[in-house]
Amino acid sequence: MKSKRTITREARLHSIAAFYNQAGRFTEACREKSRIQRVRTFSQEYHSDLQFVLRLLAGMCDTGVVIHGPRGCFSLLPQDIGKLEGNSHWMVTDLNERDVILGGEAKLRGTIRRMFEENHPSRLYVVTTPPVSVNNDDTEALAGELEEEYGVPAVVIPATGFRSKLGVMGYDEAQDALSLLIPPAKNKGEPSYVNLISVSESPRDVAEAGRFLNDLGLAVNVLPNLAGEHQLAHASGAKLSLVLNPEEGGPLAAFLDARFGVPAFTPLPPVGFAASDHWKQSVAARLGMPFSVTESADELLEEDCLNGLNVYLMLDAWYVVPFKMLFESLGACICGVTVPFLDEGSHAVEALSAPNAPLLHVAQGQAFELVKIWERTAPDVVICQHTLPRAPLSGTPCVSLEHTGLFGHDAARRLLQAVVAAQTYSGFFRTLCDSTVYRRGWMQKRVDWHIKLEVS
Amino acid sequence: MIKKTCGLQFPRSGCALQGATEAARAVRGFVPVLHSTAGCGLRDADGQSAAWLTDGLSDAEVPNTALLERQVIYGGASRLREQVRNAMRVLAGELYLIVPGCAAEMIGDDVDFIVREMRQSGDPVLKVDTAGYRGTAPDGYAQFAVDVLAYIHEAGLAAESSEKRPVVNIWGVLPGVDPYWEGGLEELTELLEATGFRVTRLFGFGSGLSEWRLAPSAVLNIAVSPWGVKPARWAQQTFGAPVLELPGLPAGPEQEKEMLMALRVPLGLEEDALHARALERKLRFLHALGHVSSDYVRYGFQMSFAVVAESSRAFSLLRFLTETVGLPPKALVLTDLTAKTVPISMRSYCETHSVALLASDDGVEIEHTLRQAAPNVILGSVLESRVAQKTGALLLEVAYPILRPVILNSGSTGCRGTLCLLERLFEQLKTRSTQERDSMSALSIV
Repeated sequence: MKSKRTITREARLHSIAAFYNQAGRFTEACREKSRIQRVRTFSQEYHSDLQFVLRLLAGMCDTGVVIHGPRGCFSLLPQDIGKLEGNSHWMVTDLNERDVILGGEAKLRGTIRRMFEENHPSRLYVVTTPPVSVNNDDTEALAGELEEEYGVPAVVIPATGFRSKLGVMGYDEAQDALSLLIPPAKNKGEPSYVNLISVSESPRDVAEAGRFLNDLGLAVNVLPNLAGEHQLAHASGAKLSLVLNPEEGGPLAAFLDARFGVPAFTPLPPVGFAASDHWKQSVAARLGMPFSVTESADELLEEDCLNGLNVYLMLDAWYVVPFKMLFESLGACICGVTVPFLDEGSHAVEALSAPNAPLLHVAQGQAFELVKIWERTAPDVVICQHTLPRAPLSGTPCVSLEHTGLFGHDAARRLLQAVVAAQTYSGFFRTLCDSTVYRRGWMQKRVDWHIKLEVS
Repeated sequence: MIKKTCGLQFPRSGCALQGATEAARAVRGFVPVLHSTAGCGLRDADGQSAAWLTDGLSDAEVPNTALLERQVIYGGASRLREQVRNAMRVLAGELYLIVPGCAAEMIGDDVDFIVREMRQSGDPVLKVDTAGYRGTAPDGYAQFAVDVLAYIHEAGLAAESSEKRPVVNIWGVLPGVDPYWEGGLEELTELLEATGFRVTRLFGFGSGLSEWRLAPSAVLNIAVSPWGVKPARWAQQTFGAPVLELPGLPAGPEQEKEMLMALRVPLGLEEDALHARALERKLRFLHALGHVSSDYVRYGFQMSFAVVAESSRAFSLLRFLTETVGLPPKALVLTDLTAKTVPISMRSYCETHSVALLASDDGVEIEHTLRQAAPNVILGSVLESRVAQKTGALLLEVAYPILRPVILNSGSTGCRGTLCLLERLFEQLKTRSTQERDSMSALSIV
C-alpha cells in the first residue's frame, strides 16, 4: 500500500519543542507570523518519532512488524515487549555496515518473507529507521511487491528520526499508516458503538472511560491502543469517535471523520472530580442520552486539602488545564508547567497566558533544564505523566500519574493520597538529594541560555 | 528446526552504540556525547529502565546532538562542536566521549577532525567508533574499552598505583547487557582483593579516569567473557601485562575455587592460601544453603531448567545449578555467540549432560529450543515470558531485558551472587509448589 508522507507538526500546527517564557509570547509570535521555531545548542536524549511509532504499534494486538534497521533499533521498544498480548510478531532486519553502504533491500526482502512464512500476520507494518532514511532503500516498492505476492496488506511507516523535532510525530506517522488499513463499514444500520480513540493511555484509564460508555448502553471500540484487526475493521461504522487526547489520537479521528463520516468528539478530559462529571455530561449530551451526576464532588474536595502547596506539572499540554483546575480547586498553587511539545491554539496556552501565570516550559526530556527550573521555582511536589524527571535526585517529592491513573474520581483520590504521602514522608527524596552531575557554576545562567531561534 | 535465514525476531542485545554508551555511563566522570538522531541511546521506549543515578548520568541525561534534517543534508559537524562545548560547560566530567551514530557516520561528518581540534585546545575528548551498524552491544563495550585505553596511552596519562599491591584489570563484565553486572563485578573485585591484589575499578562504584589511568600498570588482564578479550589483548600488546581468559563469571564456590586456582600461576599465588580462602568461602556458602535443605525436598525443588543468557554467565550458571544445586539441565542458549564461536568446553559439557545447546539471539530459534527441551524453569529474559507461559515453565529473569526484578546491588556471580539468585529461584518454586498443592481446581465439589 502506498504510504502517506506525514506532514510534520511544525508545518501543520506550528508546534514547538523548545520554549521557556510566558505562554502568551508563543501566541503573539504565531499571530504575528514571526519566527517561532527554536533549537537547542545543548540537548539531552529524548524519544524520536521512531520510538513513538514503535510504542503505538507495541500497544496493538495481532500485528506483524518489521523494523528495517540495525539491531539497536529493536532495543528502542518498551521492555515489556516480551509480554505482548495477542498474536504480535516483531523482527528487525539487523543491518550491518555492508548493508548500509550497499543497501539493505535484500535483507528486508528476506526478513519480510520470513515474517510472512513463519508467522502469517494478517497485516504487516514495515518501520524504517534513520540509517535507511539516509541510504534511501526503496522500502515502499519492496513492501508493495511482497504484499502482492503474499496477498497480505503491507504498509511502510517512514520514521526518519530527523524530520521533526517532535517525537510525537511518530504517532501521526503510525496513524497515517493505520488509516490505510481501515475498511469501509459493512453494516449500514444505526451504529450501536462508539470509537474510543486512545493512544498512550493505560488500560486502566481506557477502562474507566469505557465503563461510562457501557453504562450508557453503548459498546466501545478502542483503537489504536490495544486494538487488533477486529477493532480496525469496525472503526468506520461507529456512531462517534470519542478522542481521549486529540494531541495524540487526533489524526486517526480526523481521518475517520473525513473518509467515513464518523464525527470526532473531544471533550475536556475526565480528570479530577468536577471535570470527570463534566466529561460524562458532555458525552451523554453529545450522544443524546440522559445522565445525572450521582457522586458529589464537593464532599470529596473537603477530604484532602492541599492548601498553599507548590505543585509543578509535567504533562501533555492537553491535560494541563484540568490538572491545573484540580489542584487549584484544592488550594494548591501551580508554580510551573512543562509540556513535551506545544501546538498553536493549544488551550494550555490560554490557561497560562494570565499575567500571574507560571512560565511555560516546553521540553521533551532535558533533565538539566528542569533541575535549574526547580531550583528557582522550589516546588513542593512534581506531578509527571510520562517519563520521570530527575526530581527524586533534586530532593523534590514526585508523583507519577502512571501510578495513580488519569481519569475519574478514583484516580483523583489516588493522586491526592500520593501527593500527601510524598509530601509528608519525603525521606527517600531527601536521602538522595545531595547528588548532581551538573556543574554548579552553570546553574547561575538563564534557564534558556542554550535555546535559540531557528534560522530558516 | 526452523532455519534462521534473514532478520532477527526479538533480538536482545542492542547495537554497538548502545553498548558503548552503557559502558561510558558506567564510569563516573565519563560523559558520552552521542552524535546521532534523537533517542538512539534510549533502549526502552517507555523509559521503564531509566534510573536516575546519584553519581552518574541516567540514559535520559546523555547529551545527544539529535540530528535534524538540515544537518543530515548539510552535515552536522558544527552542531557536534557546539554540543560538545556546551556539554563540557553543563556536565561535570573528566572525559567526554563522542559516540557517532549510524546517521552521522553515513553522512560522513569528520568527527576525527573535531576530536583532534579539541584535543589541541586541551579538551579531554575522544571518539568511540561504534556506529549502531558496526555490531552488537558487547562489541560496543569492547571498542569503548580499547578506545579509552588508546586515549590514555596517546595522551600519556598512564599512572602507577600508590599502593604496593600489584594491580589487576578485569575485562568483559558488560554494563547494560548483564543486568547484574555491578553486583557481579563487586563480588569478583572483593574476591581478588582478598588475595592481595588491587583491582582497578574500571566500571561502577568507585570508577573514574584515575582508575583507568592505573590500567596500563596492571600485572594481569583477566578476561571473563569473550568481550573482554579484545581490550585485554590490546592492553597486553601495548602495556605488556599477560592475559588470562576465563570461561566466564564464576558461579558458586567450586567455580570460585577454579578461578582462584587459574590465577595461581600468572599471579604467583600460594596454593595453600588459595585453598584455605576457597574453603572458607565454601563453608560460608554451605552454611547458607543448608537453610533450604528441608524445603528442597519438601517442595520438590529439583526441577529441570534451561538458561538463556550471554555466554559469560549462562554456562557458569548451568554448571552451578547442575553440579552444586542438583537441578537437571535441559537447554543452554548463548545469546551473544554464534554456532562457530561456541567454545569446545561448553559444547562437550552439553554433550556429556545431554543438554540442548543453541548459540543465537533469534527469538524464534530460542523459543523452538525451549519448547523441545521443555524445562520446568527458564532462567532468561522477559522475552522468554511467552514461551514460559505456553509451556507452563517458571521464568526467572536473569538476563537483559528484564522487567520484574528490582536490582539494587545483587549479582549472580560468586558465592554471594548465586545465593541471591537461589533465594529468588527457591521462592518462586516454593510458591508454585504451594499453589499446586493447595489447588482444588480440578475437583468437582458438591
